[in-house]
Amino acid sequence: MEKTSDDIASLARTPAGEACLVGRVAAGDRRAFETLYRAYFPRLTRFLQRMTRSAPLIEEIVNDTLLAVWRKAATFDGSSKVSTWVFAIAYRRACKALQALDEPVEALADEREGLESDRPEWQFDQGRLAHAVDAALATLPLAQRIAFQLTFYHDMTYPEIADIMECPVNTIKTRMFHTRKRLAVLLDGQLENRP
Amino acid sequence: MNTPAHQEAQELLPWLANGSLTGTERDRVQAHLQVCAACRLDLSMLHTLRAAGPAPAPQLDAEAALARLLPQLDAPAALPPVADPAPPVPGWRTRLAANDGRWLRTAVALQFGAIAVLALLLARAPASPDANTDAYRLLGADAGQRSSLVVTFNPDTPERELRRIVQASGARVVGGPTVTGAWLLDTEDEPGKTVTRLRAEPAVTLAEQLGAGGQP
Repeated sequence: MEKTSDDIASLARTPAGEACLVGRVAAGDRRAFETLYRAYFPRLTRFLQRMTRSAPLIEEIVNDTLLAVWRKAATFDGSSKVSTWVFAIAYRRACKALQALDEPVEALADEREGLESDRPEWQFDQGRLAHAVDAALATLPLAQRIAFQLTFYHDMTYPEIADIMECPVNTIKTRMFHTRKRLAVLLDGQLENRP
Repeated sequence: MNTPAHQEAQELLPWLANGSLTGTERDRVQAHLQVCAACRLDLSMLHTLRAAGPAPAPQLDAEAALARLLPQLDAPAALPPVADPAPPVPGWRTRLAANDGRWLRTAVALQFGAIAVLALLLARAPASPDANTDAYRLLGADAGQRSSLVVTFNPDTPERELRRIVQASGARVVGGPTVTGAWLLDTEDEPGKTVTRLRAEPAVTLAEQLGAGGQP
């Protein structure tokens, strides 16, 4: 019996369900692909905003990533979680896109000047701490930012992050250690007295 | 304190904070926290950082982005170069699907380029209509009766419909698609009429005459 749309949508809620969706995508199931797309679009958008603030470029990288998922679904062997696989594709595509554009991936802080999102009233509305963290992160090297983001905003394990960033797990631990020490300095006095 | 247990805890605290640390690693870090005030403070700060959340992501419309991607699903992963532009090849819908600002800007730039070429041709035209207009005719050219057109289509247009439009307009594909997804057509009909027929098609987003070689 054919699965209903609700059945398919529910698959996106668990890692095992996502793996099942990728299997269906490999068989050419467009509804499964659209379900996976809708599940990953917001996650990848949030992830990529640390690498570029350009909304059109973010959409381009997200679509490029999920087009690769559509085309390479048959190669997914289940040795990692679907999320690790998809984020790894997105990370590589984003690095390639930024290099192709000759965008300085380590110096994105300058691009932020004059952005609407940096105006004081916006900062206030969105939460001063969130913005302070965001601004502090923007001063860090890209690799540290990405490791931080995958840890705290995507709740990934350090082996998963190592897979995505294609580096040893000790490198991830070291990056995170330096990241949080640096953030502690940059956010001096703003972290201790909060719940 | 700088024991191996403290060092391990310092490295692993972020993953204790995000709840992904498991097994003996989690047990060891939690045991260390019982005796290390510095690590407890660090963990508290990490919880605060995590709770702050990321800055809002750019506002992007997932459904619109998905609609832009779907036409590409049927395209082959790597398109070979098109040696013979007619009949239409399966990849052209993909190339036309780049319906974004850059695409539109390039289409407009192409239009201006065509206008510039026309202006140049006009400026360099011989003063006398009796001048030797056949002097630079290429082999196979038929007395300059053909006109070149540039056409772009709505990215959602089915391939069969694109073929029908080209044929119904009395034109044929002689080049393209360009990197912007534009196609070059030629017609032996009155070019203005062909352009009018093309523009009457809802799927045609741009139809312009590039030049009418040899017209008196």
